[in-house]
Amino acid sequence: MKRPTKKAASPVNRLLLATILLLAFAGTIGLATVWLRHQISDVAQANKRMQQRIVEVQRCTAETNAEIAAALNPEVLLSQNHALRLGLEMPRDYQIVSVAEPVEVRLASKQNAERFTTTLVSTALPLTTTR
Amino acid sequence: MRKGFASNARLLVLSLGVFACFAGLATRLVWLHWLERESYTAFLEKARKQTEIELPRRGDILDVRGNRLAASRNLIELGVDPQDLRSEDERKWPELARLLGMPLTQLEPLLRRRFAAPADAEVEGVDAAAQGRPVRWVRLSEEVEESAYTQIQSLAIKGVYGIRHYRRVYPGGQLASHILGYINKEQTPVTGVERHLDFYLRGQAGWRESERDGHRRELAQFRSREIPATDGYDVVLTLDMFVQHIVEEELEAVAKKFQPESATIIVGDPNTGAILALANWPTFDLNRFNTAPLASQRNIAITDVYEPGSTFKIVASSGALNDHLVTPATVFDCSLTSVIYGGKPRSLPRDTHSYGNLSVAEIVGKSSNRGAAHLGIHLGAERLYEYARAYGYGEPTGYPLGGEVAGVLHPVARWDGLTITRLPMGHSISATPLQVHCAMGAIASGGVLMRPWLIREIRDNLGRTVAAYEPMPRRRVVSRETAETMARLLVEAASAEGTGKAAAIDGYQVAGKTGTTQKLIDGHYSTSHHIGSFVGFFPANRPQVQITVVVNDARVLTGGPGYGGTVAAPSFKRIGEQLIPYLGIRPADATVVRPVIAMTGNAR
Repeated sequence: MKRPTKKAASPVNRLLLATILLLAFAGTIGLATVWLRHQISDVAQANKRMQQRIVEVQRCTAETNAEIAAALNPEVLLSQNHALRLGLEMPRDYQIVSVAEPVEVRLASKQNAERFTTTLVSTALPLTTTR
Repeated sequence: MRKGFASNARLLVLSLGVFACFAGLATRLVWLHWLERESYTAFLEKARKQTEIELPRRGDILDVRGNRLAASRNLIELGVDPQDLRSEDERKWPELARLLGMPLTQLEPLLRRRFAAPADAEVEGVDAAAQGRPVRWVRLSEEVEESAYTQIQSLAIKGVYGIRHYRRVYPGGQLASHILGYINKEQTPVTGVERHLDFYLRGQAGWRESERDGHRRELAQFRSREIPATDGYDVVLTLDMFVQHIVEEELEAVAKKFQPESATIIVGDPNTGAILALANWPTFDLNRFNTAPLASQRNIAITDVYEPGSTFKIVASSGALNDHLVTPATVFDCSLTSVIYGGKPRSLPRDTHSYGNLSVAEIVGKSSNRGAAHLGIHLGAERLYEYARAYGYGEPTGYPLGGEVAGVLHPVARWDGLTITRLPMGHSISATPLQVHCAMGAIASGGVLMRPWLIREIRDNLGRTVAAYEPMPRRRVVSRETAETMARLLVEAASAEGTGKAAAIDGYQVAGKTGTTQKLIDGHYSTSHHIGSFVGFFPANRPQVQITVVVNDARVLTGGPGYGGTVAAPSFKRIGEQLIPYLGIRPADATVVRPVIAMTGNAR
């Protein structure tokens, strides 16, 4: 291969090289700008899609809430009770016991009532038989 | 000068190449900016800036337990741009018609309407296309549901698209209609919570400045300004949907049984003034407000006045007790027909039964008109008036949604000779059902008159409290001791011996007062048209619920007058019995023994 001579470093060549470099640089800047704008557009579109999705979810939630509210309407519940023959009724006053004492103690005594009763009966039986 | 690599020929070729490029560029510019200017300018016109309004979602109205009483549903207004329609989509039209619930014969003309008819008469010989302007939007349906719209979108008919909007829905139909109010077709709040709390409920519209392309699609990258919409706040009421339902069912039953002109029931917590339920009959369905007569849309509880009758007797009796003028045992001669007051003889009103000596306790229990007149006279005109004012008669209760009337309570200077004996029994005065409710609430709350508490809080869409409203006492009317004494006397009135015995609830001490007023018809008290009422609370010594029932002009099958004890007290009992298990109200009297069937039956 022929080695470049000193001629290559002449001012015209330098000018040409500078022009080519300038064009390349300008082209790169141009391409970068286009790429950047494209990226901005992509991000903006992605944001828009995300926003639309959020709005859609919110809309869906609101719609579901409205449907739940309609389904919880006492009239609807009563008609469902009737249609499905569930036989659900309001609790009666006599079914409710007002507990004045601490409920934990009451539940514990209820839980253990049978155990204590069984013990008493088993010890009581021999006494009865001896009599 | 040395030429180096750049020989003449090479320079020439390069120059030509560069020139050709620039020439091509210049040609293109001329092409774009001159020759094709019109079409591209038109295109650019389309791609100009646009401002898009984003509508907010109106806040919900919730009851105290978070149940939605009013909500906003998303609906789609579906339309078509006939210019965009393609002939290959015509086979999809029958399916579109099915989804819209519209006959194809009705849909087809809408889709084919490409040009608007000219405003003036058609010019002969010129076709419609030449006369009218192109139609870009024809509405196909005003309210398409989301699910149907999804199916319509899946048809992919070019030119058919929808615009989303919100529509107010009331899941309970007529539930609490007089409190909630409604939004009319123009999206204007008309009455009730919708109107008075519109500031919080409506939210704030957002807007967005951006550009759009030739296909009218938004170019998101050119959004310059964006203010997001702020959804409306939710309003939480003190109402309880279930209690409201019980009350409205009871009103239906009352209306069916007595066919009254109107009826009102108010349920509240006397300690806070909270309104748990408020309903009137006749009522209307909020989702079909446009078909309801205006008369049924009136909130009678605050707009209509009546003579409170015997329910007003608590004023004279508690006033006399509070001023230590009498004790429950003080006896009055109720056989007298007139007494001297202010140096003049005053006739006393008649009682339904002939009574002799009655104690104050008996006057309240038996609801003696003469006894009440005695108490009024004992108290004196000025003090009687002051107590009536203190109980809230003659002034608005402070109902937070407005629209209430003050009722009529004349100052003493305008009283005639009979007022001192008639006012204590609830005549010569008019009040709204809510005023009567609040007055009795003062006894139940230990002597403090409370302002009706209906709005509990305002919440943003994340559930955070923006504004909270607390119970608001208005003034102390009587001392706590007097209120407790009065409550005991009112227990007698709702006992087996009292006028309100139909309100008695097994195992609970009910305190209450019946009221029966003759209606004024053509300036005369009618003997056949009455307003029957019952106002009470329970348990008497630890009040948790207060119920007011007012039945206007009931038609009693037995033919007698619509006494409060007959037409209103039973409703109190039925509502009270349902509220006991729901609100977990315990009998105040601990000595009452009640069976424990359910517990023993399941005990293990």
